Amino acid sequence: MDQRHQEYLDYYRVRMSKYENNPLYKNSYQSEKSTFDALNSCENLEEFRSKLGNENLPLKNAVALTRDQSLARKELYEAIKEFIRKKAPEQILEMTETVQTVNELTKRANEIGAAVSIEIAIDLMTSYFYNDFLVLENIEVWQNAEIPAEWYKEIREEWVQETIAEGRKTWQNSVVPESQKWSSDWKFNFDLIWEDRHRRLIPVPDDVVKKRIQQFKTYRGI
Amino acid sequence: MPVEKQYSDSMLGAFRNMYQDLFDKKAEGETFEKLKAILDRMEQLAIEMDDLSSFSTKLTTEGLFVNFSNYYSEVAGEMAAKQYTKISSDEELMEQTLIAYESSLKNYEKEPKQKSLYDTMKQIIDLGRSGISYPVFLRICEEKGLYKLLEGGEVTRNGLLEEKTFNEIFSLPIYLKKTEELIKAHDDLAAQSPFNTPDSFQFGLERIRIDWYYAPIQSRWDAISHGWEKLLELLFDWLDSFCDFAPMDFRWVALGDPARTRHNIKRTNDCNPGFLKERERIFYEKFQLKWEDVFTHETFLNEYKAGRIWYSDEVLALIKETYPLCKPYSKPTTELIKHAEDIHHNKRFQRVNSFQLTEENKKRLQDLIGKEKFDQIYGQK
Repeated sequence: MDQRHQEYLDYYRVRMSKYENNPLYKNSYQSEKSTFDALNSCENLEEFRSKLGNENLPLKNAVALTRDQSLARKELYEAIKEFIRKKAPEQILEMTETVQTVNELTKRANEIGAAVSIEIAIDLMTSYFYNDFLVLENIEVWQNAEIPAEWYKEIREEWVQETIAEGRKTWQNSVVPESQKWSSDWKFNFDLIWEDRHRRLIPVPDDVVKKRIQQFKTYRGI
Repeated sequence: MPVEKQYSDSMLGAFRNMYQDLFDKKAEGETFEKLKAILDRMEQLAIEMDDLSSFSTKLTTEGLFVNFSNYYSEVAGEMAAKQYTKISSDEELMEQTLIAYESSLKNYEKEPKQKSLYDTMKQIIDLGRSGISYPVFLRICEEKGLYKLLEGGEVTRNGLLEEKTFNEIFSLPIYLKKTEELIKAHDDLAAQSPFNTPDSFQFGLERIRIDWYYAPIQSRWDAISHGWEKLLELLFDWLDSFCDFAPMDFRWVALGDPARTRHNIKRTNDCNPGFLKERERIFYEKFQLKWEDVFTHETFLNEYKAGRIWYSDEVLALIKETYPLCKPYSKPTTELIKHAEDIHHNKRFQRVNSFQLTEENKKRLQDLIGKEKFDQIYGQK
């Protein structure tokens, strides 16, 4: 083995060892080990260069690292029940099974990331509900507060009706058209409120959420 | 009307530079033409669309960002590949690598916060220029963790330390706990690394987990704070609405319409007790907290300590005294009203130095954000 061959062997050994015993990088370790073994089994560097190309080793290394990182992301999102965000690593993992070049790997991973980020943006529109809590509480106070009868018309009727009219107008003229720029058939999905990723950010008991859903429907005219 | 130029420039600037970079390097071919078509489409949308939010949405939903990036990678990758096929030796490969690093080095030169990246890159270049072979250079870079250091672990940690200082200055306890935990996660990962810098991917996962953990805690904190702020406001307004200054106070005055002003005052006189009871009911329904829990609750104590309670201690005491009387169809006593009038006329209603930073914190903030920015915000020369 000539000196340059030995120097490259030392370099690939270091690359391999940086993933050794790290459970997050199992695939990367195996892949880097294959590259190291390939180099170690070659008579000379010329043979190794052909092997690199013929066995597509750079792609295998890139795929291995992508798979390790996607698996880790998938596991984390699964654990924290972020099921929309989990779609990106899931789809990337699927894609890595058929990808042919490093360029294609990068390109398709970017495309998946971009497509899922749009789904995330749409999913986040569920927060419209909690964002309305302050105004929904105002309406509840005006409707239920024990006040002298002479104020009923102004507070229980006019204030409530004006606020609801404004809420419906904003919803129809602004919120819905803006949201449909992200997805043309978008409409508010009430089931999503109960998904853990959204429900956990609403710091009130279920009974209050149920009540607010009905109030939100009235306020926004949905 | 097009999107304002300053906004479209800031959104498209990087893409224009990337295009220009390829153009200057004499890029050509079908992919480069597609890239140019995408940039043209972005420019066209900037002219046709009238608001930034719609413009930004359109760039994302039409996939223009991602397609531009993909075509850029493809063109740049092909050009680099062509360049590398011309390279016949490790020595030429080393030279090309070092030229690329030397070119990047200039970007870090003038930015003090990027000093660690500058130093690492300089170390890589010096190593490459020391006369060693290309594989030895690559090996030492790996062994010394120089590539890992280029991931910017130190820059990230410094950013977290700044965030921690900011949260301390402004007494934001949940954000502070979160930042402390992020720093700990960063340090734990660094301790596991032979290069004393964390794997940036692993730290990214930790950041997601920690952000996720604290999000509902912060949400509850904010909602509770808002709940008791509303109760205090209703009581303060109720008592003041019986005072002699009420007809001149901005809370009730309807300019040029004294009858309307009287109407507004009467509404507060009559309705705030009912509003208060209903707000208390909602506060309890949401958080199982009562009026008597407010002043010992961690959210109140924190805001008090941070100087973010606008009311003076005397007003707070008066509010507490007023509370038992604030019931539907009731009125405050004459003594309470007189006391409120005295406080108002002698301007003792607002806490001294409320919403002001202490001298020590002013200094810390100035060190953190720089004197120029500090003066812009706080109007000091």
